[in-house]
Amino acid sequence: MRKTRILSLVMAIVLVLGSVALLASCSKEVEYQEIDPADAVAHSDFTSVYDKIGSKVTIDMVKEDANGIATVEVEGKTYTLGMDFLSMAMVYNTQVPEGNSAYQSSEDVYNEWWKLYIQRWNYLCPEIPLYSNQYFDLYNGKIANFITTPYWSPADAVIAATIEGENTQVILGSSTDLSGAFRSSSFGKSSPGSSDLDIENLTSGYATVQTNMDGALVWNMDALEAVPVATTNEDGTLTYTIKVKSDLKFSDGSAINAKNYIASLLANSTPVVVEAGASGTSGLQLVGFKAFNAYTGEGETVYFDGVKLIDDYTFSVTFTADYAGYYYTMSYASFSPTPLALYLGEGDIVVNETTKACGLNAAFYATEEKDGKTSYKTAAQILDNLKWNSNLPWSGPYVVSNYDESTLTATLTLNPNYTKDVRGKASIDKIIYIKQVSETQMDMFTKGELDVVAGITGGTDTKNALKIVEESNGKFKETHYDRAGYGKLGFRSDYGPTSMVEVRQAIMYTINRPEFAATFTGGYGAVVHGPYYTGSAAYKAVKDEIKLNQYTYSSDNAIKVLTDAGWIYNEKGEEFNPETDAVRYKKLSGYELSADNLNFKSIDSKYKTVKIDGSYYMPLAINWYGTQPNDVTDQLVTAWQTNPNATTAIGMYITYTECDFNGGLYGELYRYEQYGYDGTPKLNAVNFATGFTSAIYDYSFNWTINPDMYDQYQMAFIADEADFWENYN
Amino acid sequence: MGKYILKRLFYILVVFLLLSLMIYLIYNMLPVDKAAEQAKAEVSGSKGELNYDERYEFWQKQYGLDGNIFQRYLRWLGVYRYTPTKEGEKGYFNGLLQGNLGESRLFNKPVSEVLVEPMKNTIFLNIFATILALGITIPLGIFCAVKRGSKRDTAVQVGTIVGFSLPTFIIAIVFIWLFAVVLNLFPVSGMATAGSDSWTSWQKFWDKMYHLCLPLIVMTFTSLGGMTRYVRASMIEALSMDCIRTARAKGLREKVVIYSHAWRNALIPIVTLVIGWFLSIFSGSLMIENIFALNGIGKTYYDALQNNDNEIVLALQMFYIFISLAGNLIIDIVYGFVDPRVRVNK
Repeated sequence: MRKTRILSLVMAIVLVLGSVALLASCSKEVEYQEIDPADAVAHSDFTSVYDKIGSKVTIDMVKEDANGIATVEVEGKTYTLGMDFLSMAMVYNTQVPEGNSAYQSSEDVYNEWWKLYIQRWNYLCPEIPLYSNQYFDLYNGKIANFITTPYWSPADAVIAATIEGENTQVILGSSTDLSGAFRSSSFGKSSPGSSDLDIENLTSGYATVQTNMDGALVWNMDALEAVPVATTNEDGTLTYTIKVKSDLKFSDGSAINAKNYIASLLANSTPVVVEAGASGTSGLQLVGFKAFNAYTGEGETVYFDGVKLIDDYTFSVTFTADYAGYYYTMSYASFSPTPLALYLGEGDIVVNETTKACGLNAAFYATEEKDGKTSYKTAAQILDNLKWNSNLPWSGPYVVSNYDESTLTATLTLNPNYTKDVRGKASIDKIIYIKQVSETQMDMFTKGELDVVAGITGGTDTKNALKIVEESNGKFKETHYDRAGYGKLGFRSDYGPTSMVEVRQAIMYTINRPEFAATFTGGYGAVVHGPYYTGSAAYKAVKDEIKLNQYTYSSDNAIKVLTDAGWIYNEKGEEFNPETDAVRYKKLSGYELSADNLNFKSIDSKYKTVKIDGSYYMPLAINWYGTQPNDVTDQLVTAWQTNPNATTAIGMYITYTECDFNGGLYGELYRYEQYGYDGTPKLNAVNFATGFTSAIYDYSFNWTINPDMYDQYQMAFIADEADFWENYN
Repeated sequence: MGKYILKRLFYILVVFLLLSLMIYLIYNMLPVDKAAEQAKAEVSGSKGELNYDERYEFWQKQYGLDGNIFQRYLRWLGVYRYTPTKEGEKGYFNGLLQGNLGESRLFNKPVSEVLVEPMKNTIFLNIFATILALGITIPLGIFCAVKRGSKRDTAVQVGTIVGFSLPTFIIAIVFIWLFAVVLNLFPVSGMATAGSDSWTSWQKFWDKMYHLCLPLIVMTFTSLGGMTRYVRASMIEALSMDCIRTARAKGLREKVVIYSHAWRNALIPIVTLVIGWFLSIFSGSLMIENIFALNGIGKTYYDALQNNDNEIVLALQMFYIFISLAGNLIIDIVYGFVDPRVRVNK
């Protein structure tokens, strides 16, 4: 009995001591250390791989692995080609390699670079494409041959369209107000008004380069005597010699010659137009721009060396060596004729008899004293001449016969002196351009107050629109196309967890994008897996070979990429346990130890980077800024931010901060103080959209690692480690 | 009276300046920078040729946005010079005092040019709306007061309260559906028939009136409630006065009692409202102008706010401040004429 009592006592003591020990270990506090700024690691050398070896690389030297990652071997070393390299090579390394039958033209080379660029983008996921919707355009059944694409708006499509009968007219509309800036919709503005641009496109013509229906740049042979000759000079510069036809006329019957094509270029490269409100940088890419742009009219005439007048109908432009190898140099060779007085006022073009270089005469630079300052007379004349009713003629298929400022309605009538262009030959007698209201546009359309309703998208609106067409018995018709662009979730890819590719990939895996797109577009849309438009020429050329990860919705795949990347810790620096721990942490190393990352925290301060035993651990917390009002934001809250598969299941924490578009995009994403940025990085993700409405697919400089250009040019704030020369040397 | 008016005008000037400073400071706190936008657009298209800081500084000087907030305010007012861009120049004044209301960021035109047509349209529409509304609500209010408690009075009360309570955009959309789509009596929106630019002036005038019918109907319907009930209440109070009982006892005709005696007494509080309505012809209706695609000042104001076109917003704010201050003075003076018991110099 006594022995039993002693044994019981010993066992009780052991149990108690054991419990105490267990409790002690559970409640053991982690000792967090102070974040030390001196622990931050940053690149010291921002020399890019492209700067060092870019000029030595041709497309046939590039290899790609099974995942589409491109590498190149130069002088015995293998380099992975990053976003900066690929974006630069795509437009500057398009020369056809000699002796390689796989590439017949620079277009073939471009398409291959494009493929590699998209594949790298798909791997890095700097954005999450959420949906690419279809656009439906409804039009009056009386109109035939009406075709719209992402590159041809109704204002372009109406040129080739026809209507039977006499005194035909079409009523177009826009929800953007007209402002009367029809001769140059972008003069003095950072971006043109879309409705003003429509009128400008309808009333200006004979451009040397135009965009066709598929978005490709083509020479306008209706204005050109012959395809312009491109000559690479000894000093590496590139000269285009352009000869225009001798029978072109403005709307008033006056002849168009070479001077009309270069007047705008010359004037818009001078300080005179700057005084009128424009930027004065039109000829930036041409030889001799700096000297010509600096000339204020004092002293001897300064000629623009890169602009020459060969004869009455022939002129040449010479690009600097920087632009000589540029794939889209043709876009810089696009000139449209303008009446001389429009930009020259009482001035005129003068030609150096020896060099044939062009300048502007003293009358152009004449000054006067006005309101206490010395002003260029021509600046005021330009502003007067730019008005739609300035009595100057038009060069396009239509002329502005009336613009009612009170009702914001423009009336355009056919220009009898215009032949045709890539868009076709205009035949509709009158176009009336009115203001339309989104809420009542379908009522206006069905009542005949509007002949075209463009840009209908989304499930409900599309179904209603198609119903109207079906029930109209041919009175109304529709045309549709896939959007050249997509709605997206964009990242600040140099801050916090979203600075790591695996985190972005994990987010990609945990948003059910096909379902998102189907819900948002109502079935009239699709998903893309990169920054491309499926109708683009480049995509069509490589679609059978391009390697794109579709990131099929899967929490398991998200967990795998995270754990493989080291997101295996919890806030105590111990192994992450999905049963008990809410948020994953990662032990930072190398360049992950940036100053911003050391100070990272969630918006609500619930999670932050911590220092334990000399090591830094970052939480998997994403600060998402949702722009409002925005249906995409509302849907993302459900599909992502509060979706357990995207959060608790994978150990991610997502905060949602509502913001307006400017504050979220320009303030927090681009970090402009002028838009409210307070100096403290906060944003990891924001939803907005992107579009490829230009025929030119060029993102050179937009992936730069150069810190002097980074803030202004970077489109996703991702400094691809593959682009750092110091990583290989 | 003259001294009083001068004193009030002086107060108006002081209040105007104080408010202009306050509003300028508020709008400068908004995260919009015209110079930054212009510089960014230039630099992003220049492929590394242009330097952002240089271009930003350049555009700041062009737009008069350099210097501290008070320098910018004084420059906007027109008492501080713009920074000269050329050596040897003194800089020039170009602000409010010189008649420069600024340049619209969106339209790249002087604000005064941008506002002319919308203001003309708004005044045109509002004059008709005000005359129509007053022409209906005053007789209706008098009628309801005289026939207080009758079925007709009740019916009018219900009708006007519906117009008063429902949001304007709902009434507008319902009326568009009913009158423009179903009954096809009026156009859906706009101010002119497409293609009417070749018509005669008279034809254009009647076409404009035809297009403004539906907006006017909506505006009148929504404004009936407030004014009718106010007139009714004022008349009821006037009709219960002793002098009205005396007038009836004297054997005056009922019309004379109502219009010569009761209405004059009821007019005193109503006149301030009526003058306020006339002053409001300068302010546009955001909802009406947006839904009916009318190029009015309300829509222009709203678009400017949406697009951060602060020059237009500032100019309009200053204008409305001036209208309010001047309007208060006018009301005080008119009140003195309407009610002999009230004199402003007492």
